[in-house]
Amino acid sequence: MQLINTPNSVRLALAAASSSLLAGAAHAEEKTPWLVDSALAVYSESDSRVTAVEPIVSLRKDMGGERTLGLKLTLDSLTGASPNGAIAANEVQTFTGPSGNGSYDAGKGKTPLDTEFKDTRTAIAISWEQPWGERNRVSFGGNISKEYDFTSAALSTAIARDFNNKNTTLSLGINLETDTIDAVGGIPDPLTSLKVGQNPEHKSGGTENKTVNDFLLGVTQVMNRHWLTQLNLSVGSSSGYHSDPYKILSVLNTDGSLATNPEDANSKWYLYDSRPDSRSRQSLYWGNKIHLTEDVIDISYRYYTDDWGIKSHTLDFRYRYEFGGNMYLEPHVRWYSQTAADFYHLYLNKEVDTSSADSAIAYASSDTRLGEFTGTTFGLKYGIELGRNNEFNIRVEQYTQTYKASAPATMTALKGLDLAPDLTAMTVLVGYSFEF
Amino acid sequence: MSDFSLHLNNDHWVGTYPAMASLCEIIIDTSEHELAQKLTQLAHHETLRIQQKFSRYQKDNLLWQINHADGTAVKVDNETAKLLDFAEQCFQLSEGYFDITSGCLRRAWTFDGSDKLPSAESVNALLPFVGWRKISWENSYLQMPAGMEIDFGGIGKEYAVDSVLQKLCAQTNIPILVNFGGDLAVSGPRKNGRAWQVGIEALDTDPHSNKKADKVLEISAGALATSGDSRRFLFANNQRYGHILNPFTGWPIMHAPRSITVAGSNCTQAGMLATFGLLRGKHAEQFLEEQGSVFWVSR
Amino acid sequence: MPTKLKFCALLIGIILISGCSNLGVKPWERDLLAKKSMQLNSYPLESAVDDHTYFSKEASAGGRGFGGGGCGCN
Repeated sequence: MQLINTPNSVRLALAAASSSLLAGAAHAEEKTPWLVDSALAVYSESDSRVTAVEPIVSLRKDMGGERTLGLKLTLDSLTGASPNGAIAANEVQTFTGPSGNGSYDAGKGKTPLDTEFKDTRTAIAISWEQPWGERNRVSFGGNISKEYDFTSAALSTAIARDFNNKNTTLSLGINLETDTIDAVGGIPDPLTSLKVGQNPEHKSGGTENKTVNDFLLGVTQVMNRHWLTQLNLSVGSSSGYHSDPYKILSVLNTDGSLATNPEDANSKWYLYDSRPDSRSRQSLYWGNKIHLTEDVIDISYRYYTDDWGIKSHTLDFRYRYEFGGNMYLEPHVRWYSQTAADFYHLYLNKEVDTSSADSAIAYASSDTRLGEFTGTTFGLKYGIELGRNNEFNIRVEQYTQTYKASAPATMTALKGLDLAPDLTAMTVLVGYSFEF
Repeated sequence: MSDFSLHLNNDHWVGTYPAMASLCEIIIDTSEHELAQKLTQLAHHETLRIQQKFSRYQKDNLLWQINHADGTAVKVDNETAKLLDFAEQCFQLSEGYFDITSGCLRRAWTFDGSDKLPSAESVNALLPFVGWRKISWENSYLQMPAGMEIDFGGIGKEYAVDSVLQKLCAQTNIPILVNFGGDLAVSGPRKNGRAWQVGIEALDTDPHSNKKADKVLEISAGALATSGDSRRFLFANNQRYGHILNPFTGWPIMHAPRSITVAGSNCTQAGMLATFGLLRGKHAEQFLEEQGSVFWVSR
Repeated sequence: MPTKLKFCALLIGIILISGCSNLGVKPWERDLLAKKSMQLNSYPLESAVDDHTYFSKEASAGGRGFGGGGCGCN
């Protein structure tokens, strides 16, 4: 018998092998516990914008034979102010809220924010996972989400199959979703004027609907004892109402001053958001988990593209640093960059984008979510393991969006204005998991 | 199903029952009778469960089905799968010397202390049925050519010690020592941080010698396991033939120590290290030293 | 390279990787992979919060998985 590898190696290999043998080996007759996972996230944007408080509770249990039931309840309470889509101007601007009752102002040089914004969302999710045959696992999921003006229901199913002694896993999944929006004050007709003064209201819509289908094909591969990698290809399409009924665009004259509404000489002109009624997207995600001597690196990249002209890159990096006492510290960096949608406009130009009462363009939106920007996240998480399936953790993150949106120098009325101010948001997330 | 007995030894309870061809002792560092009873009951139940499941002498258990499958594939449960994975790794680490398919060689050998060695033909006839590489173990299915069998005897007792200890520790934080005839493991130190005192029985030494040293070991963590041939051997041609067989030749490993005791992080690991030591024959001590183990060898 | 072609290439890449039967570990070498910190989604609630935040602030969606239900935030 030759000696393999290095001294100690047999003893250490046996220690590792016997640990694996004993981990979970004798639990055949034990009752499986309920695993409870809870979290509270508080999200807060700078400049008195949106604040969200989101408590979540989830329960999971192996009902026997590796069939797992999952239940999750999410509450999401939002308050604060959100940009209405119009840009800052060198004069005070007045807007009517969605309900048509109140009106609000934006100060000189300030980005208009709709303050009539308060909502609580409740979502329930249920999932079931079980083996199917010797090498497959199937899962089913249902989701219902309800907030004041929006309801969403979704069903999903996925199948995963192991190959090569569980070193390779192929997954295929489908998600079907239907969303209904019952906008406060009604659905506006696309690219029609916001009622500001005496001009008429253009809201003939009641409720609108869209359906979303997503497909996912994934492969997970164990590369070696230290490295697990995953590649996912996602393809999705949605059809129906995609516009944001609360968002508008500023209409400007060639010199950058606010254009007058053709339907009322005393009002400024703002047009409602209008987006295509279909969207088709693809993304490729590559994730990795790498175990160093003690610590773990999580690094992933995602490329996304859709037929609205948006392309994005996401790079995410976490380093889990284990220090004694079952505690860890995990710094996190995420870098995100996206191009603008084809129909994204920071503002509309009266002479170019509109023509009297009709618009020369079919779609337009100034929603920053569809613009060109980079987003950077810096975060730090602390966690401590208190027992089996029992952990407390807390994470603090800062997210900054920096936009690339500007107006030509010929628009002198816009001089000195910050048309797309950076957004900074802080999130604090506290998590606690236990079993009973 | 035989019972267990419980007796109070000063400040702690000791539960005992016969199983796995040994006297099993559960030492519980408490003076509470009811708790000691409950824990010993649990240990007894778990020991018998493992014994029943992996015993060669039990008809219709999973092991029997595997050994009588006549060439067809048998789906095994999670626990058996883990034991097979462990056995496979031990096969690899020992470069084939530890082989759970070598049990059928016992049909040629009777280790009764006599000088009756088997014939070369009877041993050679069994060799085609020995060899882990001949079986297929994949994705929870075990398939062996007809005539082959597996035997968990080289792992079973130490695994039972660890499994029983694990079950008891899930029930209580009280210090516990599980001892199955010399294969033992502890949950941690005794109350107040004291170490457990364990007596290692003197071996059946050479009748001409007067050496009969009882060792007393102090242990506060991990496990101890002893492998040896003190009672099963043959003596012929002025040579001692121990019962640990070489799966390649079908004959006993020569010049192996009479007994090896190894300390480890758990009983399964300690037991396997001791077995590996025996499989090295005259190089047993060298191997265990190279592994950095704490061990005692008797020749 | 046209988008459709790019995605076909990636699909083939996925199928090829799944054919790599010499990559991987033996069952007893899965000790590190079994740890919570090595699971692909070890903190699902945290991922859900992140997914929701980024879904409501960015145009992209999905990647690691899907099926979190919709919200009116995008």
